[in-house]
Amino acid sequence: MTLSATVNPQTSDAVRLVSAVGDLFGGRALGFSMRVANVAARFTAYCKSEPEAIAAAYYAAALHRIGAVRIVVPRDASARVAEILGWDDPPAGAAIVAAAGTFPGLTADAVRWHREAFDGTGFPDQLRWKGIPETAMTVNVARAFIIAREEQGGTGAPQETLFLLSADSGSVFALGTVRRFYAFIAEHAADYEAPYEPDYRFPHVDPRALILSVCREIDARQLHTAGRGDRIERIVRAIVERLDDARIDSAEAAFAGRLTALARTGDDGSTSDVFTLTRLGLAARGARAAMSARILRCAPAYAALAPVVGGIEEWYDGSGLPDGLAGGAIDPVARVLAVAIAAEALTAGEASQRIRAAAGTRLDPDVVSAYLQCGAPT
Amino acid sequence: MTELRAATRRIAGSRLLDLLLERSIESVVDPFMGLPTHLNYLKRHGIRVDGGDLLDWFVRAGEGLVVNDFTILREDEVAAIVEGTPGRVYPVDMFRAWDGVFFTHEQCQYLGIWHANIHDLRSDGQTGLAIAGLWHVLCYWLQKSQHPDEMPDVPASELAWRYIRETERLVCTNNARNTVRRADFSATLQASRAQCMYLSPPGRNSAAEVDARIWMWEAWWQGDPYLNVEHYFRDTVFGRRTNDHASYDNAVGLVLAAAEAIPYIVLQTRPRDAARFEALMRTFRKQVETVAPNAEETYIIARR
Repeated sequence: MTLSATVNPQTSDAVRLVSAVGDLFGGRALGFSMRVANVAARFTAYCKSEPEAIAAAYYAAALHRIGAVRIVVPRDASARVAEILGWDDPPAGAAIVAAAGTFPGLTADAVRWHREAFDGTGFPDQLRWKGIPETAMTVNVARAFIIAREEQGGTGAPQETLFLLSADSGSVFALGTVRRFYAFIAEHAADYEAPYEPDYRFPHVDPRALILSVCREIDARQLHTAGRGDRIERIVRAIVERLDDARIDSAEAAFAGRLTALARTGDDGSTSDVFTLTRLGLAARGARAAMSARILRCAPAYAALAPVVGGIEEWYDGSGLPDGLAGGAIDPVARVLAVAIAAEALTAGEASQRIRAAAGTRLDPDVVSAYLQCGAPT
Repeated sequence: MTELRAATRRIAGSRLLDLLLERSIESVVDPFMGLPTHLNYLKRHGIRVDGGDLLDWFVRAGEGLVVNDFTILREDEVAAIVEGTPGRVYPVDMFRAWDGVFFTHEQCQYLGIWHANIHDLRSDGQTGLAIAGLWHVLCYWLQKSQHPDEMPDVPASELAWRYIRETERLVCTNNARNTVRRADFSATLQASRAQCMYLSPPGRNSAAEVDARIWMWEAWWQGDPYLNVEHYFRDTVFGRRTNDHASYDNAVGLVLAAAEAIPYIVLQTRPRDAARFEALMRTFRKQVETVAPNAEETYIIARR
């Protein structure tokens, strides 16, 4: 492993993007996990840990909510069932992080055990005492602190929030960790959550692969959408090849096609692409598209894709959402994606007819024409 | 005041589940289960589990966490455990030997009350959950006795209530007949038809160095503050002297030999001991692999 003063910005941004997805699935405000990450990294650095430990705390905190992507709570589930399903959230997150590549040290395990309690009453494993890795305990303390700050409205001195942690000292949090956290906040009251860039380089984390793995997880939440990204990518490539538009790069369009899964972030199962050619549920779909654009804007390296993925619910005639853009004002790749999403959701028998019927209103006629010319794949 | 060890074995059901699912293993036996929260996790995810231990309170807790599927503790039942019934004569002096040594006078009285209340419960499941829940209170008190100013003062009954409730949340079913028994490893293994033995070998001389939080709870459950749990282990392989490599390896080897009929063995150890255990495992099994998910955990997995 090579230590470096810089971090691959694409990796860093991919983590930001994925953390935003975790926030929304985990029922938190956008940016929550990154706040936790900044506190966890600065706290670890305050404890004079090795660069690898600081990076592990940072990335584990940033990704600690991502397991929520895999947890599908049935709508009619009782609170008890929802709670039990939630216990599998940390191990699911650890599996996603471990599959994404080589994060430093204990990153995946800190995600796995960030909800363990010092007294052995946490989840998923009821680990206790020193059996809980230090990094996991750090993420837990930082997480609890940010939640407490949010509950206080973010006002007042951070020291005033500490009493909420002390109530759990020796039960949820290790005494030594709370003690050090007190000292950390006392010394860093002004910059305890200032943005932090870990001093570490990853040899084996492919930023796009990390993002795409999460998109696959989102697609896999429902049986009928599992593998949706692959199908959309195939359709997009076929359309772009036939369209022959110099403004559209096939690989980027295909990547954007997979990113349309982000428009299902926080989905409770009510979103269906079957109605994408109709106005049924347009308001909800438009809001989700806007949310996906917000997620992409969280990561500067991917912000350019925000109007693309955020524009998939715009209608060619200007009556779509979220911005009511019309014709050429809609991003050209977004117009391709709109056709691909509809084609993927429809059956082979109905796709060509219904997509042809939507040309000029919902869909761009040129893109529809290219789609039909390439054999109307579904 | 007693010394509380910082280090403890990290036995994680979720990690174990990953290893088992990768190998399509559906049942596990752990002959040294300890407090079987890992078996409870495996049970919740559909794995059939058998456990064994020599300490009775571990086994009782296992009856609550592992064996019984639908145990419920209603509010009034929890209240009947954590509070003294007015008019009843309790053995409040039962743990007087610990008064001023490990606990306060009031805490010792509560230990006596809880001891009596728990022995009155008629359901094994409820008894097990209450034992596991109240054990957390003991740990809390011992921790607080060392750091009195850093932990909040919580009334004994409130603390007990909270921890029993925490433990009760873990009750689950997996439609399988899961078992725990108070027995030496050989009896546990003989009684089980599991596909896999999970083994986290007891430490060297562990019988003589049992954590205060463990032996004290056995003493509480037995109602004898002077109880020495060492005699439980006297006639077992790990109860003899296991200071040197040879005798310790011999003890572990006896366990591995007793598991001859079990298709898989998952042995959890630390990196520093991994090579020795792997070599030992190879004397019993031909297919051996080592999995080290992080720098602190090593699993040696052998297939028959």
